[in-house]
Amino acid sequence: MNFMGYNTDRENGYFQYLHNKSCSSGIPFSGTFELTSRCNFNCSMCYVHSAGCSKEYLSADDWKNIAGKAAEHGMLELLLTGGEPLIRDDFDKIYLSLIEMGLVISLNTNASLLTEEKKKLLAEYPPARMNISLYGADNKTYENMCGVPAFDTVSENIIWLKNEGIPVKINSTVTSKNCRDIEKTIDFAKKIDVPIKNTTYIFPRSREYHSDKNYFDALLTAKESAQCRMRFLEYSKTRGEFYDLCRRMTSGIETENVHACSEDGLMKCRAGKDSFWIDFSGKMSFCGLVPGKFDVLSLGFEKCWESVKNQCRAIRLPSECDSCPDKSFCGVCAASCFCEKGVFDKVPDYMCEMTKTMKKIACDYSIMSEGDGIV
Amino acid sequence: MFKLKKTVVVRKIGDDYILVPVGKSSKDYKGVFSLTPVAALIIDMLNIGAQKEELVNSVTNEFDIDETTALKDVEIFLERLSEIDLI
Ligand code: SF4
Ligand code: SF4
Repeated sequence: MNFMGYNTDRENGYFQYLHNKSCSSGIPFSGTFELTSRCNFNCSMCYVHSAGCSKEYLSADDWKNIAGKAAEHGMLELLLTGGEPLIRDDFDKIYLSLIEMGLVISLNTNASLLTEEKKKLLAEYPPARMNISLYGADNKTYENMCGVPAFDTVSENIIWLKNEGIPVKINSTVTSKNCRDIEKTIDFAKKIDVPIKNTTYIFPRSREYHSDKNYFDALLTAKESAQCRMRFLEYSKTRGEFYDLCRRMTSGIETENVHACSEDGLMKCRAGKDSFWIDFSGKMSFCGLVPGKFDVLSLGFEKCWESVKNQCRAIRLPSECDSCPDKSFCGVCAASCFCEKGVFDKVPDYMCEMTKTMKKIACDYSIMSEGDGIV
Repeated sequence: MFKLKKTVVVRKIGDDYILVPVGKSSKDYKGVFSLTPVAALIIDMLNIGAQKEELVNSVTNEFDIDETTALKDVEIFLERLSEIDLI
């Protein structure tokens, strides 16, 4: 008789079952703690970084107490993010207290602050996954994009994590300042055998803590963003896979990217169903890209979570998206509508134009693939 | 007396019981253990500490299982937990 299953795959199987169950019974299974707004980089497109700020709003004990309450209500997965979470002097204390609670912890980091001390901590108490933001493929691009020539350090640290057996995923955000490096970042990821995801859509800032004049310089136009996305897909996939994807995009058959699209106007992602986000000042939201309204320290975790769930149930996405033939690969979601339009039920123009342009490029490739004899 | 080691934490998510390796054992186990209802009952008792007989009694009381089968199940499960160094 089998008494126990052993489950490592966070995307499928048992975890998927727990997500589905949590969504249907409203359990806050998956949380994100934005431990700080501080960062040692100064990326112009960042939605949270408050440059020059030295203050931490929530103490290590505050985070521990919030996590304890969330765990009582069913939180198993916890993503620690920032800013740069490793910049906090008390990161180790926070991390160890969360590990002890039996949480499955992932870490978003720029991987530039892995001191020997931090390496020791992570080797001894490895997180379930490290999500590394990779901003380019050399020091020059890093300097241009983040103000720090950190590629050599970051790449060495990624390789160290990989060799240590800690699961690593690379997230690459593309702007006008690093778009020439798309192929080189894929080459780097392939060489060290680490999965890479790329984002060319920059959510306009709805959480405006600090304005940055470089922000608008960094933005790509919707057309450029679509071209960069397609370049990434073409280079990272095999020719057959890419042409197949193009055909599916052209004909409206579901692609990998279906989580964010609307269904009868309702949100389709798990935000506010089994997942929540708490920003660096302790405000809970359903998603980190939408400002949090509910203060966890004064209202308590449970009340905030109920409010977030109610807020999401009431959200309706644009009716135009419901019947759109391109929704199977469009990234439209509550956050993109809100960030672009300030409301949830209006079509986000930039996202829409990006999607239409991607479709046009996919059509051209589909025609070309027929010429190549790949069907 | 059998007792669960401090290298795992028992988590209850809804009505599912899960064992999460913590501290140094998370180096060896990078996933979580899901438990059947019988295993969850046993683990709950092992978290405090229990004798084999107590475990068997609880299993026969809570589930429609005869004593011989319950004893065999408890022994197999304890052996498995010991193999992976959890008790
Ligand atoms: S392409 Fe435009 S209309 Fe279609 S789903 Fe996306 S945002 Fe909505
Ligand atoms: S609202 Fe959008 S960005 Fe936020 S979690 Fe859902 S799909 Fe992701």
